[in-house]
Amino acid sequence: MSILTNTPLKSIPFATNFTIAASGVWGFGSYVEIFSTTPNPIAIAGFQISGGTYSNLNWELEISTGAVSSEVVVGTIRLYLVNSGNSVGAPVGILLPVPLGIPTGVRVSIRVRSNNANGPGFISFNYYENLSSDQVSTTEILKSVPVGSATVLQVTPNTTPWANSAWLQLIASTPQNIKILGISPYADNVPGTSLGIEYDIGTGGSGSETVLTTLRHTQVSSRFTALWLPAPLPVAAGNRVAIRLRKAGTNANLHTISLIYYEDSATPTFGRISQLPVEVAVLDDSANFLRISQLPVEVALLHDIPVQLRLSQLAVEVMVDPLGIPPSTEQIQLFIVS
Amino acid sequence: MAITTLIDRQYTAPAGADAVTVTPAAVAWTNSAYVEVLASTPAACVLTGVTFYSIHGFTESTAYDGEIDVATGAASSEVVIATVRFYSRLVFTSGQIGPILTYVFPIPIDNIGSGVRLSVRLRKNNTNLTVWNMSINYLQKPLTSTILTTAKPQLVIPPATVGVTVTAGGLAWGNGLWVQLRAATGNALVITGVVFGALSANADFEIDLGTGGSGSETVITTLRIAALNQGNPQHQPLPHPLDNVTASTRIAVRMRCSTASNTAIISLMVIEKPL
Repeated sequence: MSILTNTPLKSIPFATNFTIAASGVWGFGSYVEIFSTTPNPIAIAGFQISGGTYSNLNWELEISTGAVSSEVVVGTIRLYLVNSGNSVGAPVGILLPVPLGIPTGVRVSIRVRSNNANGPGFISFNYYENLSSDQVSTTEILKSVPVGSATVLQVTPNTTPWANSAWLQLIASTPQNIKILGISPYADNVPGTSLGIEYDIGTGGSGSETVLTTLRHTQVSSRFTALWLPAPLPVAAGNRVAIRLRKAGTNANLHTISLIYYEDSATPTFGRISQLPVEVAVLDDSANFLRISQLPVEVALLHDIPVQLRLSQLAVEVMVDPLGIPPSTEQIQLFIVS
Repeated sequence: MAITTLIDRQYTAPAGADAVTVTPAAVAWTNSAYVEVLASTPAACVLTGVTFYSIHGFTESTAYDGEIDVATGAASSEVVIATVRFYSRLVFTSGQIGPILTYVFPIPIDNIGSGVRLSVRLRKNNTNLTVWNMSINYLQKPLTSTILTTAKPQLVIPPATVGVTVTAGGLAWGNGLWVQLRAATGNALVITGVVFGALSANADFEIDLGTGGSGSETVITTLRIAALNQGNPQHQPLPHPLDNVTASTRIAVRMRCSTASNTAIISLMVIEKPL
């Protein structure tokens, strides 16, 4: 499989926007339904925000699946939004390096919050239906740190040009395997950084961090809120993740950082298996092999709600491997319930 | 299949140092001189992106198209391995800038040998001499990760000229006319990005890319874009490059907009197949 696709991007809604609003400081606004039921497996590719009045905003978009009042978060992205005003112009549109997969027949809704109750007033989405690529999340949850009202993560730069700052901890210990997509960086009015900023992402204990990769940036733009890696950077569970920077110039303004990543689902039954061609092994109660197939099977394993899958006229209940091995996107075991 | 990940470390050049300064040519769409960003690669390398900046437009609030070339080879013998297209629409306060600042290649360019000089140059559709600052991002081979790369150059449609102007329909959200981006000639392509320049403020746009003859275009993708105060994300790399443009196929673009008859300037980032 490949990152290439022949699947067209689509957009929603047509000829209008979804209206969004936060509620108080770090209070979520109401859910806004963007799909009453997904017509096919979809992959949310990105979004565009506009409207509203705000400045220097830590803003979070939450994407959930599930019925009204039973929404379960499958994605959170935190961005630093500079200013909506005429002086800087703030519309933001991003395409995720890896889109967020959601199976068919699912209600999808969103809500937003921010550090000062303000924020963009409108949002629209680009998405794929039946994406012909496996570069899509299936069981992973889109996450960002910091979350909500948690302490804003800010790196204090070294005032000596191109000298490293101290490391700043982003995640004390990854609870699951993660895949880092990139960062949302911002430093307000930083003269001289037009000549460059480098961010190192590293792992390891405090004082013994090892650089995993380096991102290069420049004077921060009001319209550029996410700095992506060429491909997701994997970090195994149980690792401390930290960041440091070095830059041109002597300015000491703080750099606000959020880390954007996919995290493996903590509970296998919470997996979201969508349109991927999966290898299906059907076993009976004694784990005897009955059949195996290579099909574009559409299975929804939504948040510990068992679903039934019709396979060759045989109704089976989806269960988790009794050994506790989480189902992967490559193999799913189905046990016949007599 | 699992998500493809990149274990290999990304590096920058210049590394831990000021970006290089490129002075544009005084003639529109004329190349600047090359400026070296790395004297000699420490190993065979894969180009993953370009970072660039200018205050051009800060006082003029001007709109313009431009291109950045990344090249290998000794001075006066440079060979372009990637071209990045940008569109700048208004540069505001001193902390802000219009165009995207770091372009990450959806398909990195695997065409840099060991011990090779790397350099950059610029051209644009005006004669402003404000300098640009540039740096590049790359991986060192051998790669541990299995990611899609290509030895083919990253290209632009249309090259070295202003993008095509598209006009939305005469009613809000009505289709505008298709405008040709490429005639029905040339290799099969992978589309890796869309460069978008809105000329008017406060509007929402949908851009259809289509293939096929005039009057019988088929939509191959639709990109939604929001613009406010004449700002917008003017460069959208496609994380899933679009692989459905066959050889000798015409490519066209049309637009719908919340404001009737609004206009925008469009160009594409592409790589010719086979990759």
